[in-house]
Amino acid sequence: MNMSTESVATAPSPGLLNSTTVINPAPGVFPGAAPEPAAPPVLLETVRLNKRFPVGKLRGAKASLLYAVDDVSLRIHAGESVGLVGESGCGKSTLVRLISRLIDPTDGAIVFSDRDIGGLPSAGFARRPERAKIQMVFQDPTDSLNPRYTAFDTIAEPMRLLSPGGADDLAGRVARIAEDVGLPPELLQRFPHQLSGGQKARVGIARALAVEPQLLILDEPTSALDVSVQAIILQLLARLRRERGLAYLFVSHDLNVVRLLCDRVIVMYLGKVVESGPAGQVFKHPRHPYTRALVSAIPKGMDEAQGERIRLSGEVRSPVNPSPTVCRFYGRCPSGIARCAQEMPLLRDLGEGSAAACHLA
Amino acid sequence: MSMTTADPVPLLKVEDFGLEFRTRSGTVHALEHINLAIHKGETVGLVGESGSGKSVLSYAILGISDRAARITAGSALFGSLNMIGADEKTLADIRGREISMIFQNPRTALNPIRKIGKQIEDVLRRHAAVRSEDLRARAVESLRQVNIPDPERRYHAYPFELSGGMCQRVMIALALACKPALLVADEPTTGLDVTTQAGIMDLIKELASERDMATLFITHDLGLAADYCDRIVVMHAGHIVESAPTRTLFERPRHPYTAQLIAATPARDSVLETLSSIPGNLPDLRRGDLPPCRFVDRCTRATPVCREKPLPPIGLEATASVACWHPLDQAAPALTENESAVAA
Repeated sequence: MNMSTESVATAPSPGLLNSTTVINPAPGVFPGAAPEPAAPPVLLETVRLNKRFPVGKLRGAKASLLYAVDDVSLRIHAGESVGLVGESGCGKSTLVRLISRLIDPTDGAIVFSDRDIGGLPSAGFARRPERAKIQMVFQDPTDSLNPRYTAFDTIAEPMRLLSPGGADDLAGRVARIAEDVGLPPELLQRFPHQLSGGQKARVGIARALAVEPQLLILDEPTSALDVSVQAIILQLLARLRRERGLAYLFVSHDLNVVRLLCDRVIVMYLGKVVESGPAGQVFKHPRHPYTRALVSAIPKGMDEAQGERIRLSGEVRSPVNPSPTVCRFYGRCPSGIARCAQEMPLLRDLGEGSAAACHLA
Repeated sequence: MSMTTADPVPLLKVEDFGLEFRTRSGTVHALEHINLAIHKGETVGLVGESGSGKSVLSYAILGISDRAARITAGSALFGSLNMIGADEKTLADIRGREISMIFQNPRTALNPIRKIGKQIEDVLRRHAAVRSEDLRARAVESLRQVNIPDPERRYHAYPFELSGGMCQRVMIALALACKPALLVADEPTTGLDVTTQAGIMDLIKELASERDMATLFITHDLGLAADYCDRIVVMHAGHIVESAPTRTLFERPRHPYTAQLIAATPARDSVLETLSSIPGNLPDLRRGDLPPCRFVDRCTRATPVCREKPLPPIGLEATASVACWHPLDQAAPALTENESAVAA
């Protein structure tokens, strides 16, 4: 874990790290969890990251706070593919928007390549050199492409603005990236409505890769695609990662897709990270009761080997001014005990690269 | 499971149905020779890629097709009433009461500026003989039935105040308020997370078995269809290409398209390298010279006969049937040359 100490040195509050379990230990420490035998450096790290939104402010009364992201510390290593899962409203999107610097954190640090970028205002981030290093592929390619830009314009735009080469040889560079993502050159002059779903997805990926990022944040990149093209886009993403040494933060509802593409999985529940570990481990032997329910809810298809589904009953706890001493999953948790209502479970290292925030794990 | 064998008269019988759209860029041959029967208590899955005509078919059954749509052939019998060509007043009485629909996107299907409780009351007032002083209690009861926590308080909520999963539950409460005999669910869980999805599908399934309600479940998620359907109907480019009981379909897919769909769906033991995609796209349905088998350009088993000989369409029977000249798994009864001669 030497890497972490180095990277935290530049963070504003280095002492904080000691009091929290970092959920992505350096790969290599645990064989099988690492994409490569030698531990690659930490690319991105969040240190006790928080985002709280004020809600329901009534005539001078103190605003309530919605804890969207609560004390999240995680690491993504260079070249690593990390899946982020959890139900809607659990804070996945807020976390992703914090990391991609579209919104500002309430407190905590976001360390990217040994530099704290959490304090840089999101308003001006689009013009900073770090913008090129962290790029996003959005959920619905139809909604996230400018309908009045041709595929060429869409891919060339970030190059013009952010890449060191500027506008030199745009045509050649766009053509090369298009070829790399498997977009036929004759389609470059087309507008989004003239492209199929799979082709639009390729344009979205090419746009993100145009400025040679190190971290690609993929927000449900295949959920708008038909199953007939999903496999080919997933294979494309896997190849690009291998060839370019990219790190992925992959957000998806489809756990079968996460399993295919990710080395590690982080499970969130109501703003908190409740479990993290190597993908195979998390899906085969989930440690947190919420993860167990999640994994058991994956449609089985004709696969009967899979166990009974765990049905969650009871109400979801409110994320507004949550009690700091009650487990967020308490009340819905099938195995809750009295202690869960008195003491918030912290993320604990369970060995083999896994960690879970549960008294019973 | 289903009542198929016990009850020979289907609740809904779509026969030799065809539909096209007149557009500025030509006529889109959207549906052709569709035969589909749904029995009481049965859950039928309708699967296929986007653009295969699943939603168009369900809209046509409810008589809510786009104005550019023109029905070219066939009938859709609900009981003894032909939904095709029935007058608007009759249809309006049936929709919401006897046939209900859950739409794909609850956020756009719900009225954004009306409280959800009021929206349920609207349905009850229109279709059920409920006294106005009882309306509110019935609406709250409907919300409770779909497991919305604290229904008295949620009665006053607007759709934007609820999460996607909650809105979807409200859609279901709306659709089920009058205890319909047939529920058409068009991708009811798309975009929801797996735990919410499982909760909503369980709810539909429970209500279906409680009330003997028939369900037409439209989805592109084969895994989900496998979990919840008695029978699956596969559509491709406006044709039904295969229809079979769920287990049979997954264990022995006959149509090459079905087999490829199954192979493309990520499952528990899938590996990225072996996960396949289906090459090519749906054919342009505006073409005047569409081949009898619309899968022919994407099919690895195609021979000249596929472009020439008209395929006998899938019938109404509940057993396994396939519309293909070269189906997989020849062990099961396939179309013989004699049959094909009759069809030709």
